[in-house]
Amino acid sequence: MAENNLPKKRNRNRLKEFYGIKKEDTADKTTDINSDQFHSDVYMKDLLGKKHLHELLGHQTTLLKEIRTLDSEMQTLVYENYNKFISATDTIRRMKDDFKHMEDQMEAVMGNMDSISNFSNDISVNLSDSRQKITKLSSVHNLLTKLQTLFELPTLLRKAIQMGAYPQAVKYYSQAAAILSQYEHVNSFDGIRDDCENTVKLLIQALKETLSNPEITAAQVVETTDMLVELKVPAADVIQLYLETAHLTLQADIDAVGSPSEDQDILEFLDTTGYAFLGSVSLSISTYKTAFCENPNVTLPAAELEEMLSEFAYQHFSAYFQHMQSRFTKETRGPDNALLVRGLDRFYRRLQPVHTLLPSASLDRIASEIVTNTIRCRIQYFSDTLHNHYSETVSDVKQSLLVSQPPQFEGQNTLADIMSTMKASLVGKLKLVLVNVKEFISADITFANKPYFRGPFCVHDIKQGLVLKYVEHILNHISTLGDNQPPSLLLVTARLCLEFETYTISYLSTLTEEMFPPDQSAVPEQLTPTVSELTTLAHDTVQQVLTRYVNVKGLSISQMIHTSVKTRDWLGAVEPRNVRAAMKRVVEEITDLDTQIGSLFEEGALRGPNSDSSRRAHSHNGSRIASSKYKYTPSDTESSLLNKLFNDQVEIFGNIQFTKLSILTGIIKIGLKAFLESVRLRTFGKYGLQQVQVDVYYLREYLWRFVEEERLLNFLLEEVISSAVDRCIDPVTMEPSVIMLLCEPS
Amino acid sequence: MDNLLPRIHGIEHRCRSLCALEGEQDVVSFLVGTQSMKPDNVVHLFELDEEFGELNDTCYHHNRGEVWHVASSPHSRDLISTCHSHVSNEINLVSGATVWRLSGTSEEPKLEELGDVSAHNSTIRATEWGVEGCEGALCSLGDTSLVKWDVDSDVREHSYCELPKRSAPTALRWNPHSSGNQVGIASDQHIRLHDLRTMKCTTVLDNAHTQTVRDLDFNPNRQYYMATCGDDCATRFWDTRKCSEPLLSFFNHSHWVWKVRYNLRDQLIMTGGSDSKVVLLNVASLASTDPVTEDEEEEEKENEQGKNEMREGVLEEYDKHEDSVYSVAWSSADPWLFASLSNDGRLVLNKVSKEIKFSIIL
Repeated sequence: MAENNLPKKRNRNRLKEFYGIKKEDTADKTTDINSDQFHSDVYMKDLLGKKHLHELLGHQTTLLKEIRTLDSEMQTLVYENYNKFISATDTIRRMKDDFKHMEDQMEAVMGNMDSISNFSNDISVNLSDSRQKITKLSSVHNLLTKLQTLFELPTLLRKAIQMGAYPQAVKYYSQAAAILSQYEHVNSFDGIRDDCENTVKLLIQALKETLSNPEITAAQVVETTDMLVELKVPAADVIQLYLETAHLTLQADIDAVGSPSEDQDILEFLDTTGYAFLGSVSLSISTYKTAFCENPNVTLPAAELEEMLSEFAYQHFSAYFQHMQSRFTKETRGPDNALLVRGLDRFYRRLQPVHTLLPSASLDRIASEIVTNTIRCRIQYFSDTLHNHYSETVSDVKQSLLVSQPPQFEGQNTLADIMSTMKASLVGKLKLVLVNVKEFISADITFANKPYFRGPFCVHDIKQGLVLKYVEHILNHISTLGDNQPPSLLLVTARLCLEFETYTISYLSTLTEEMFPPDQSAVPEQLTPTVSELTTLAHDTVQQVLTRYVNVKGLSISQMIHTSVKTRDWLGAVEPRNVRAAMKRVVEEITDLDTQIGSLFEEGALRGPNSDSSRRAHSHNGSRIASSKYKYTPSDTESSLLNKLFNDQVEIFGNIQFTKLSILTGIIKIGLKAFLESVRLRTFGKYGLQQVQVDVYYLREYLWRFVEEERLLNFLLEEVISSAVDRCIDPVTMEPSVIMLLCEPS
Repeated sequence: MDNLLPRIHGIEHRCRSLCALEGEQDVVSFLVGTQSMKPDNVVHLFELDEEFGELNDTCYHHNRGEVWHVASSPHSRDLISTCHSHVSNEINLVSGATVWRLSGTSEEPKLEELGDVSAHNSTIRATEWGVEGCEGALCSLGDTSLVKWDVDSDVREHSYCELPKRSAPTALRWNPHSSGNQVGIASDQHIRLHDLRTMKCTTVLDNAHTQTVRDLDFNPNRQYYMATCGDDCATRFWDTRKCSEPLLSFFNHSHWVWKVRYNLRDQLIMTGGSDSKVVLLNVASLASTDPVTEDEEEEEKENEQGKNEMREGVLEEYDKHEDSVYSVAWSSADPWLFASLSNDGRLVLNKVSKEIKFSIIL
């Protein structure tokens, strides 16, 4: 059975492939009666296994019914199909008969068509001759008409030119020009052509003249250009011609700018002369643009046109800018700042439309440069003003210092007053200038808000160029003040520098930043000198000037002491009765200095034991040493060396602090050292030595309050005594009580 | 030997006067005179034994009181002169100057007096021995007079002139470029140049310093150039043909400058002051370009560059002293060696540092 099944199955598969029936899952379909894999035995087994007998019987009945139904259906189908087949056979037979009939008719039509085409050929052969003749005649007619126009052309042109109807003339010519060039080789046309060309030359000439008229309007320029281009004049030549004309007009304006009348102020000048030029130049540029750049007839590349225009503009603007620059530079020396600012603003603003018109010439940039330059000049001017002011202030101060001497009658604050007046004057002037300069960045000024202007202006020009340089100038000048200046000037300026160092420089810097805030975006630029450098400079200057002051004053005290020691006969001196007058003068002088310096500088800290009681004890002690120690071994240097050892080395010439005590100490040190040196140059008798003792006691009594460190004073004074003892032929010292008595103020 | 320097030596008395023993060209020798009110003053002759590094000290007893100034003859090793003073009768200060011959043995050194060169009873400030061209001449400077002496076997006055009253002279130097015909005198704030042939003052540098001028020295190689120092703490350089303004001024000391001395290499200048400092200055811009001596000529030329590289001004400060430095002197035997003397009797021998030396000669 399986073997029989095989070919059957294959056939079925083929059929299936043909009809595209997909192979269904081979799952267990053997029991499905509608499936192609239905297997009756399996089905039977299944049924037998699954169902009861009565069910089976029911099923059998159902199956039988179905089978019967299917049978009858099949019979019906077969009948139907048979009928259709019969009718189809009939139809085919009928069609065969019909076709035979149609073929006969078609053959008849073909015969007719052949005869028609024969007739038609005959007709066209008969007509062809006359048609050719007609064509020829019509072309001759056309030509003749054209030639007629040509012959009339010169006359027409001339007429048109005479009437000033240039566009008409151009139209005629351009129409004729093509024909003329076509018949170039025909001699008889030469005359016409020459005639025409001559006329056209006249025309071009006339047009060019139109273009050269300085009062030509933009529309006229456009029209004329179009015509000229039509007449085959190169566009570049036309442009050149136009630019030359414009140049003439502008030149006159520029000359006017270059030779301003004297009585015009800058604003008037800008409004009239400057404005005239700008007007003309904008007109020229816009005309140029309409006539050439936006004109479809001008075939030059846009870049080239642009370039020619830029060059033209640049050429004129450079002259204009030059004149403006020199004009502004002249203005910068004037007193009226607001006028200059408004002038610059107006200049800059007026230029903006032109710049918009012609961005490629970078007029804006040049104008900004001029503005910047001018402002820089102005700032230089202010800077000079400040410097002059400073020089004047210094000479004023000198004057008032000379007048106020001697200062002890004038009260304590004279020097301080002078100093604060000087400072206020210097700072005030700077503020005044800053207020003036502030006009440059006020809100209604156009250029002030450009970032590339504002940043550098605020930082470089104002802060560095004006403020910091001013301070630097002052400091540098002060540091060069020589010994030939009045010493109190040194003192005053030293105090001034100290003020600068501690307060004024940073104040001015902050003030400037507040008044001239650079835009937030600006990176903090490196300034020279920086604020901290200036502070250092100020500090150094104070040091320098104070050192000089101390030297000058110290040397003048030295001179007093030295002369007093040099001119006295110490060997044959009588017993001391009093302190020498020179010593009193020295103390007076130092007291004066104390007042002067004290009015300017802080007191400063004392070093070492310095209360009155300890001082007393110390001074007694000192006198005792002086009185007893040298009695027995007076000229023995060893003892003085020993003495020095105990007094461990004292820094005599140290740096000066910025306090009253330190300054006075410096002066006193130099003076006392001179005392020591003078004593060492002389030879003393007994009373001479005692006189020195008295002097030294007196100095100690009165000078202790002026020195930073009493130890130093004692050291120097004891050196004086010990040197005097060394230089004494009979070193017998005086009783301290007697010395005290002699030094008591009477 | 260099590692022995600086050499510090203490002298028992206070001292003010120092000079090189100019006549000695081989051994580094310096003379120091002491200042004591007692009659125990001496003139020390210090000789540096370069082989053993010892500083030999020969003491010549000086029986004329304290020594204010000492000078030695550049032409004869054993001729020296001192300015001195002593007190007689408790109230009279007697000042004088004497020419001595160093004699006696090393065990018993003795100053043999050749003659008195006190100038017409005025206080003597300084004596100077004649330079090349006037060997055997000596000038003495008193408060009121300038005297020229001839010294050979004995001492004779040669010529004499009065100085203006109250001129308070402090120092005297012989101009080495004048064939011995010119001396410079520092008096008060001025410098006066005297022609010894006529004994007339030829040039005055008025107010050369704002205070007393303490010392002057002539440039050994370059005519017309000189240096001065004074109480205004300044060291100044002059061209004597142009007296109105100093060529240069230095303020390196904080107190009086007592001594200024040119080295034979005239770009080096030594100053000493009462701020206890000794300062070595480099003033190459005013130095001669001429060779110091013939055989050094080439060396000198090569060194032009090195010279220029050194900066002008203070090359070095020596702070070996604790008291006022009154005198400095260059050695006559070793051009790089110098001595300085402070009031407490401290003598310091030192040498210009190798770096400086090489930057000058190399």
